[in-house]
Amino acid sequence: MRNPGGIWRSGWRLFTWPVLGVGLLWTLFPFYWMLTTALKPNDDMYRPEPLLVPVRITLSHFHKVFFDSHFPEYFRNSTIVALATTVLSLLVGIFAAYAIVRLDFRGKNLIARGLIFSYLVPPVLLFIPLFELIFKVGLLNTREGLILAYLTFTVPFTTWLLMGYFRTVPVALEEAALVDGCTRLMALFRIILPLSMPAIVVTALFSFTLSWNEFLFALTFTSNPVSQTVTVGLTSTVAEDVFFWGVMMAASFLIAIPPVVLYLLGQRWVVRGLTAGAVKG
Amino acid sequence: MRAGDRLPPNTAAVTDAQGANGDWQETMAETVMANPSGTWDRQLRRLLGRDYALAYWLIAPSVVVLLGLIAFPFIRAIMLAFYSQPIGGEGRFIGLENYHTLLQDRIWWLSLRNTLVYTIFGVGFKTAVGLVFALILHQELKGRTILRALLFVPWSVPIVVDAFVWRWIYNDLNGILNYVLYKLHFINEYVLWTSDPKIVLWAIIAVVVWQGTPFYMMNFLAGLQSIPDELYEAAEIDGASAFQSFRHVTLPGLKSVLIVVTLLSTIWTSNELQFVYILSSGGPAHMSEIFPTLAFFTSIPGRELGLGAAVALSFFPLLASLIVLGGRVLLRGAEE
Repeated sequence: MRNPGGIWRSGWRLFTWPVLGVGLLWTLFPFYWMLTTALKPNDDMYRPEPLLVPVRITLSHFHKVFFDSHFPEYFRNSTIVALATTVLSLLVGIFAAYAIVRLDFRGKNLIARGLIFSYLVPPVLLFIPLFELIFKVGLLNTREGLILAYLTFTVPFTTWLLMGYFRTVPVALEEAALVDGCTRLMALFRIILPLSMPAIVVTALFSFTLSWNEFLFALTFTSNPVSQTVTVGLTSTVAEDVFFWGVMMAASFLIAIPPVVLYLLGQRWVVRGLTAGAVKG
Repeated sequence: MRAGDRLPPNTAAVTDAQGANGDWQETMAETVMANPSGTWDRQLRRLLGRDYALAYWLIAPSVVVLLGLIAFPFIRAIMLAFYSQPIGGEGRFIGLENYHTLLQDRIWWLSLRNTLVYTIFGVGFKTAVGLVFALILHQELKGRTILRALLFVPWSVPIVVDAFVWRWIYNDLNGILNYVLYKLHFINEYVLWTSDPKIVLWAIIAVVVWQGTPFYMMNFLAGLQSIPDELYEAAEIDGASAFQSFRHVTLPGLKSVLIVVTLLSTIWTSNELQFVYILSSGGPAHMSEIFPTLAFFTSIPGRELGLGAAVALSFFPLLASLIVLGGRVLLRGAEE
């Protein structure tokens, strides 16, 4: 950025590093505190003077998370639910996006509009009727029930994102294939999909993290470790208002790893993804 | 959304829905002649669009999700609000009584106030802080990529984790915040961050801002990068001061990003229950209760689905206008 006006610009420069320093401290200290808490023995944790730097390190909290808690089950459930949701919403989304972008049929504008508006409908408006629905079909406390519920936010999102990308694939390529005797579906699988691989990977990454991080539906529809995911699992480590902070922070750290890694990998596309093409940049 | 508008007009994919005037008719003629039942097909194509057969198969699963899992439950929520419906029990139509109950309930009014404060200050601070950091990062800095990645972390972590970490930091006896502030003489006695009725909502808003700012920052940064350098050069030649070029080049260039981000974030922020649920459960004495938490506590632990639905819908008139506006902006963005 060019900032004309010498004094002002140097003022801004002077201002830059202190503000960045404070910003970084503010942003990262909680994570430092999470990790050091997870590594401190209990005796050091509840001292009147908290230790900014741990003097003794223990892996006992992590050990407890892995071997003496329901967390392995929570992790398994989260992984299954997030993966299944991702695969299902990609399947649904790829076909819908292709039809909306490339095919000619009545009602297409209506569906495209329906998708974008349902992307904006918050889960708070849906969790009560979905609870009723899932209760009635007997899917409370099952991973299948959660997967169904998660489709309500991943499908509109996935379809919308893929629509934007499919549009950028030149129509001429597909026409050539159609002239050569390809069917529409063959064109989709042989031309559009290979060319859209980056978008599909990013969309998958998103669906996975959105499902992994989801809380309200999981809180409402599951109540035991058979089906609970990591996010609700974390709240159920609080027993009778007693917080086992070491174990909680160890578990929190482990829960945060998959989404953080995925976001760092896909960071570049994250912004474009969430505002779904509305912001050019 | 007029999906076809962006495609070149001479492509096969863009025939208008009526299919009245396509050159495809000529190519189709052969097929139709060879196949008598093709006349039906032709009629249907004329009525439903050229690719209706394949298109309806492809679109079917997403329509099932849209209607079955979103539209139907949504309508059901509106209906539920007119019923007394305990979990697993018989529903009884009671008209507007749920809303009547809420309007006379002090907790509902408290939640209304809290939700407004929570949303307005949450979104406001996120916009301001996000803008400052976007401007800072929009310079040539050493290690800008790493800085960006680091500043982005709070947003990528599950909110539950963010909220629990802060609950531990806010802990009144063993929390690090009280200790540090006390040692630095900013406070004379330990503060009950999440149980003092005057402080709790602000403590929660601070976490909301901490978690949400990265998203604003990244969007604003993308917006800043899309403003052409020539505009700044022109402003400089015209003798604009730094503030003037910020006011007349940067802000107008950011306008559309600002609108989209604050609009979407207002919808998301006002409906996020995790911060309040984990940091304070709405307490003490509902001083940090917001509509999403009240809706949850009423409907699931409180087992009153009808009343809960009415709470969830309390904000709906406002929310609906935001959703419609947001939808329009997104659709327009996609068409540009």
